[in-house]
Amino acid sequence: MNRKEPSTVVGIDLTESEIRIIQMTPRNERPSVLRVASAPMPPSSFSNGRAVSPSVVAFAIRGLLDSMGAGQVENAVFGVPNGRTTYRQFVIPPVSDSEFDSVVDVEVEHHSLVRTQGGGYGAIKMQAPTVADRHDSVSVACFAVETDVTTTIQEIADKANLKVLALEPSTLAMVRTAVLAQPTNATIFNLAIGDKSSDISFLIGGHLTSFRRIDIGAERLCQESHSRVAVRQGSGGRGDGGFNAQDLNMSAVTDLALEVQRTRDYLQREYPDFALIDQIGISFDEPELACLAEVLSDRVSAPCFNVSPQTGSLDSPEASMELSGPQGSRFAVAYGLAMHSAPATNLRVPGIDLYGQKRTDVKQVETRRNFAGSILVSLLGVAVGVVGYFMYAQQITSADHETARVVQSTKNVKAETDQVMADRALHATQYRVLRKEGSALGVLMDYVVASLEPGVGLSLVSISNDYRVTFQGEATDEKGLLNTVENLKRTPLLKDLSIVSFSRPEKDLTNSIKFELSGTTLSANHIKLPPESTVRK
Amino acid sequence: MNDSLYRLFGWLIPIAVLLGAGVVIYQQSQALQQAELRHSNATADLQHATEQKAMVLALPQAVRYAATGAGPSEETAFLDDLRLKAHETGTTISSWTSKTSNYTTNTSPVVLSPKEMAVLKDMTRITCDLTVKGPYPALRHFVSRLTDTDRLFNVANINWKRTDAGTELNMSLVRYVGSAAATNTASAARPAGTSL
Repeated sequence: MNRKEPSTVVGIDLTESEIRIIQMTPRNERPSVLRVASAPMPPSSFSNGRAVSPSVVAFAIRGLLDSMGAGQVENAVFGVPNGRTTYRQFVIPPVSDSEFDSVVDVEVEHHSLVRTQGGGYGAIKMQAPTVADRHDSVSVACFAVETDVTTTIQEIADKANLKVLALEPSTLAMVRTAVLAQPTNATIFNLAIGDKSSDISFLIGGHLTSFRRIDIGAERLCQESHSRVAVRQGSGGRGDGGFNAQDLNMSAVTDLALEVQRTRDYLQREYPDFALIDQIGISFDEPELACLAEVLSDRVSAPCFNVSPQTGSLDSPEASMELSGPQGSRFAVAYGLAMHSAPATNLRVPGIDLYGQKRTDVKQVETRRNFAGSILVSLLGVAVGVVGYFMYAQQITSADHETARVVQSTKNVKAETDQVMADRALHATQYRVLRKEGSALGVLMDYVVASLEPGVGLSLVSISNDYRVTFQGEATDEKGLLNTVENLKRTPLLKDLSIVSFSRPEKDLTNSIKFELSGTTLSANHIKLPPESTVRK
Repeated sequence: MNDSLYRLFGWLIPIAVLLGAGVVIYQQSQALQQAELRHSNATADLQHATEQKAMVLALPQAVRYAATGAGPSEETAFLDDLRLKAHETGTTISSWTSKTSNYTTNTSPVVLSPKEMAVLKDMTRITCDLTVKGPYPALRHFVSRLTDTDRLFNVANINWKRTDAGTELNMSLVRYVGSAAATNTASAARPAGTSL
């Protein structure tokens, strides 16, 4: 039983003496009363139609909901006693439904119905029974509450973990209860007794045609509260029928009867074809008024009856038993509140929500708060973006600097490598070029020595800077000399070798041939070098 | 501004801001990835260059060289080495003179191309006119000892004559020294005066 039931609504009627709750849930698109419960209002916590201690009241409501097994129900419709509402009836030009709210808004502003910021109002448009009765103006019944009521109810709801679905005048809930208890097309004349005033409702064909507030309420109709308490205590508690006509203020009853009769007369004049009022329903939530119908019947010359919530097959047996019993009338407000948004019922008596403006204000505050939160989130987002940008930028800069350092190191290493290679190439080139300046003396001498024939000797070998070679020597015979010359000509290091002169001087005792040879030799770079003996790394 | 606009902007502003912040952070993240990629590539390039350098340094280097660094002890070391070679080969150095000349087109004994002159521009040519005496095999050995060294010695203007006292070899022994820049590699490995 503790599970959350979808679309379940509780109507909560708060009075000085009791908390009354009816839980309703839709079933087959019809309202079904699940549970009915009441509990005494904690002492001194609710006075003059206003919660003195919202926390205590909220705790009592939560306790009552838990005890009746309502569980996790969230949506609640609260009633506002007549004494806490301001009522005004005014006429407006016939306007479309879309323009109705703005026109009423102007009227409410004009009449200063809501005097405090955070208060709210609700309006019901009267509907004439026929087209012929529709004149150039429309009557509007308007109810208003101040911010102390909406704030208190909101506080109670918050602490009781409830969501305020609507805030409605108690007497309007009574009217709904009365209308639902009678046939749809019936002409209904209902007197709803509130705490400070009473409301007369006149419905034709299911439409609210006339509404009137009379400043005679339960407090005036009943005796002094001390007397009532004494009577209750004498009858053993709250009592059920322990009250009788002597408990009523007959003067107030007489005044009330007079006003009812005047209203009847007015309606019969205004709507002669419909206002055949053959009975008067009396709605109330104070048990002391149970005998009012009997007293009033005698004075208005029309039968009066106490209105009790209608029960049906869809309602739970326990709830039906409670509502149809002698104390069922005191649930008239809670029942009407529970039916505020019930399917197929609110068409007959439109529900109004006095909390609408408050809810709008709260919503506006929430919207502004959410907007501020959005701006805060945006600022955080900007901060995150900026911080992220700079953190990344720092890392990027660091990486770029490191990259530049590495690139420079790479350039240096490459330059060093290139320098090493260039130096080596330079040294190799220098060595190769400079070898051109030298003569291959050793190799040439080896060739020369090997070319000498027996009897041939050299006295001079000369190599000039331009590689001209001159050989001077002596030979014992011509044949040896010629063979030596031929041998030298085959030497790869000598070119253009020729005999410059040869002679046999007469005075020479040795009888030898002196000769001189001339040619050219090659520079040292033409000699292939032997492999390097060692390799230095 | 009515509630609808508050609600509209209450959603739009943070969405736009968060979207913008996300875009900025995403772009920065991409930029960081690019920077890290560049750094990674640069590091790889450095490693490659270092390996190339190590490979180049590891390549065999020519032992023979044309010049050594010009230093105050170069001349002394050259003469000491020359005398040592003469002593070892059994020859006698009877005279010597030394002449220094920088490389220009006119001073070169052979015709060199401009390109060849360019590689010699920082070098100095030192010509030592030398007279060595001794038997032919010893002189031949002396010449071999000179021309078979790692350092380049050129011989030119040669006069090899036989006399009654033996064999006499007159020649110009040419060696080369370079500036520090031109011979830095050689200088490091071959300090002046230690090459002969």
